[in-house]
Amino acid sequence: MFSIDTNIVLGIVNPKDRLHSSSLNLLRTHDREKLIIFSSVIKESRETFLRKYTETLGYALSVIIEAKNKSKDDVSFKVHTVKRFREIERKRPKLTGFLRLVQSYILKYPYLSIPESVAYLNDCGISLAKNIENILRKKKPDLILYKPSQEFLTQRENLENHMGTIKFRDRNDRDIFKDVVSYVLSEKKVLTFFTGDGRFKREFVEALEHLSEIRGYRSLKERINVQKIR
Amino acid sequence: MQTITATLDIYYHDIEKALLQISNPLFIAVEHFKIKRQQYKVRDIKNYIEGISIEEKEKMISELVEMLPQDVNLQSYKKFFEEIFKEERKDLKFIKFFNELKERVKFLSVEDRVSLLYAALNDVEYSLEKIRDHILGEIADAKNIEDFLVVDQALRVASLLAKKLKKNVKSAKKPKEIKDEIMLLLILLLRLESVRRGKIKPEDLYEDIALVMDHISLPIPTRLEEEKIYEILSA
Repeated sequence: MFSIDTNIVLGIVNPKDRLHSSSLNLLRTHDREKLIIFSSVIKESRETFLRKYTETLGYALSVIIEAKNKSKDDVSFKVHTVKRFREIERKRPKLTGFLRLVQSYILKYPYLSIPESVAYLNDCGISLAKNIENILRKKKPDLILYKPSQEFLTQRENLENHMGTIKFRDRNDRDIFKDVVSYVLSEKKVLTFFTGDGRFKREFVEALEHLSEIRGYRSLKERINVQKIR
Repeated sequence: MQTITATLDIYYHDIEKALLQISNPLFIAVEHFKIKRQQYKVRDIKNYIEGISIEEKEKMISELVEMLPQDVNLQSYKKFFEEIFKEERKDLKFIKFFNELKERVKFLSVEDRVSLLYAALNDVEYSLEKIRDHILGEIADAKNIEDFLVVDQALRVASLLAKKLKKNVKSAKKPKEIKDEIMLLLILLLRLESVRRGKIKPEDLYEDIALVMDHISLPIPTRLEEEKIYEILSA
């Protein structure tokens, strides 16, 4: 049984990610083992994607709005927008496909329909983020999305009281740690957790060290193996 | 140039009303039963609700906003939800208000309560879409476009959640799911109110949106291939 961090989920989903080949390699080398994914990891993956999507959409829209303000009529608006988009495509070629998508919707009805196009494009972002889980399932059809048991929830609540001085870079890392520990304790399993983030691995191991001094958590170090992939 | 907080300010009363009626649908009982020509059912709360001042409503919302959990996960949300509906918290204005309403409308039937919840959700969905229309219309004049986009996304998922809840309430199935989703809707609305009050940044909404996604259905629009995910993540 193994589990993965958000950066590996995104590495699997995105062929251009720095962790793509090592993430797929991880799935290949563990193809006979069950992969369990925690809701905190899915949530962070969606959040990361949606942030990036919205930032990019905002950028594309600012170009369109600027072109709109400089234009006197529909024709000059289209000319301005296409010209600016070509410039951006040259500077940021990876954005080409997405910019063309935005362009095709906005330019359809240049003046009347910006709100309608934005509503549509925002729906696209939400549904793509939601779909991350399905793309992951295509690569690992037997993956398990963990549904918390009552025992898991109790463990998680108790764990909160023992976290004390344990520090993580952000709330998501802390949530993922709590999910992994609560799962191992409530389901009485042994688990290997993979991350692509050296700092998270370090903080994770330190947190396990801290907990192993507390009664009820002493066996954790033997039951959770944290590894960083390159 | 418009800021998102100034734009949300225009809809303060809609947000406030949505929050109160999701917290307790009895809040709109008077108007609901008036439409149904059954005012007699809520005679005892009419004067009480109408007597609540703007300041008192503001105070109730403030209490809820202040109690919002920082952690964005179902466990923290459930804890918060249990806490805010503890009848013994007499120090809180909204608990006092809810208890008072409960005392005065003991005789409402299950059917009445279901139709009231449905009406509240319908009203909330309408208000959310109205706010969205305005935000999208203002986007060309936005000081920060991303702020407008993320708030629109939050309103969109909240509206989809209200729509789904309406369906479940009507079919009277999945009571546990209904309870969880009302909780998610209420917290998302409270986060939007926190953005309006400048207590959190619009970008803080991404986490809540990601959490609520499990509970809504939104098919991938045609013409949009899944490969777009790769492009966005690589850009």
